[in-house]
Amino acid sequence: MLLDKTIVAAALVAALAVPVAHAQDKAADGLAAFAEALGDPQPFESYPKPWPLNNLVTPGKLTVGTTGQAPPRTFVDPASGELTGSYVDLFRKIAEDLGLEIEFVKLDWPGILPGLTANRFDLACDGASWSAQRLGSTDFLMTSPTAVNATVALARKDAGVSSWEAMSGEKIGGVRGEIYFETAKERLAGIDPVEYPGMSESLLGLQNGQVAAVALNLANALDILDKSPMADQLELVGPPLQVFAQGLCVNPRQPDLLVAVNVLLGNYRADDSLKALIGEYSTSTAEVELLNSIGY
Amino acid sequence: MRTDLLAEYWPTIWNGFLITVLLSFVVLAVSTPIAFFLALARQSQLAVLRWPAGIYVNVFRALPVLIILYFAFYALPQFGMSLTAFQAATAGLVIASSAYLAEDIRAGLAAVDPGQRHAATALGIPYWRSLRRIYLPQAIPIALPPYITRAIIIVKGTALASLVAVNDLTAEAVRAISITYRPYEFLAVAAILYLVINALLAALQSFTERHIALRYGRVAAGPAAVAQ
Repeated sequence: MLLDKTIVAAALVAALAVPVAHAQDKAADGLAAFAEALGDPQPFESYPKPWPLNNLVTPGKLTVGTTGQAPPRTFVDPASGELTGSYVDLFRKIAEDLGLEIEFVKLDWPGILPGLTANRFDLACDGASWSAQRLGSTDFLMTSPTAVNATVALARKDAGVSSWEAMSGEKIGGVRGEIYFETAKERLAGIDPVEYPGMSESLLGLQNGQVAAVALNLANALDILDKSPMADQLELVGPPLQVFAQGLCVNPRQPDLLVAVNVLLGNYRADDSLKALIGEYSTSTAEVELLNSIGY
Repeated sequence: MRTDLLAEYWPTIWNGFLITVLLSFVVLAVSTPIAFFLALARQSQLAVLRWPAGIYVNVFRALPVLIILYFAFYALPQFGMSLTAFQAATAGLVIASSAYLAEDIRAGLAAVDPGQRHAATALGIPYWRSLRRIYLPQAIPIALPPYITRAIIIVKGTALASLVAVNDLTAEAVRAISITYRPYEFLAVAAILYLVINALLAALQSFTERHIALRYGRVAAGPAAVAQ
């Protein structure tokens, strides 16, 4: 009797499994056929040239707000005194592809998003992290992601805070109002936060021993570990407290610009030019290559 | 106007306001006696006092306050002296403020007829006594309006402390703006709270001037009235 039931169950499983396996095979065949027909990833070229953008702050010109204080994305070249960086180049490329001149307005981070709201510039943010508040904001619009990033910390090796748990009771620095530092303050119980006006001041505080660690984003942390003169005294603290998608920010009066930038960003992903721009200033392009880990 | 955001951030804004009040009070309380002695030293007959005081006043009046604050907080640790953010801001603001206040007080002292000093000396009145009984009753009413004006400037200048990691009123407003992207609400509240502090200082000036006028009467009217 038991044997009969076993045979029936096995037959049932086999009967169900055959169509499922068959469907999977067909789907795989379909995907392969589609992929073969499409060929290599390629940019979408059927967009308006020039793109009619009617609400720019200055007609014919893309006005961009940037901090110039977040290497390797945006910084002032010490040799030339010129604004440079991977996102500065990205903004230039967007302007060029939209057939616009470009003008950069350099100001501190606390003024960037209010500046967009106040119609001071068209485009801004050197990869601003997505948050529920930002995505839902009517004061500015966020583009599709340009990078994936995460909240980590850089600690002095001699401070003995190589884990998040060890930071309790320690002075931890970060940039005032920045999402990474606010995340760290929210999630790390018992830390003594020290709020600096910018990243360079935070790193000075770390160098001077005024704080044991600085909470920041992973891309910045890796850049500092790659280039900073004090890199050998520092260690990366993880795992990430939070993983973020990052994008650009658009003037809320310009939904047409948002569509245009999203189309171009998709193209830059397809033809690998976004990866190339990041790779020009950084040893790692993981922030772009791993975008598919969050669905992009 | 997003009053819900103001309500959410009010505890941190209020805390920043209290830090601004404390910082202003400490800076004025420490700067004033230093400035007073600097002013006396600037008027001294002794070069050993006059010269260092003159160099101090002229150097620290010429330097941007932000440079002094940055030096106190970010550069001193390289010399083995690590101050907390509040200590560094206090030290930097005291150094700069005492230089300015010294000149305001010196102007009040200089307005008193020097002949009175010579007369006091000729009568054998000790220096500190003549200072307390003859000079200061005449100099204080003259120096008070510029002193209070300078105090108001100093209170406004404490906003620079936010750049050396002090979570004062300006810092908390900037932080709230960075998170909420609502500059209007938080800048307006910060401005109103600074106005409250400085309105109190202006009221203190009026009260003190009236008090001095009542107490010293003829003297408060100025050196010319004394001479008559």
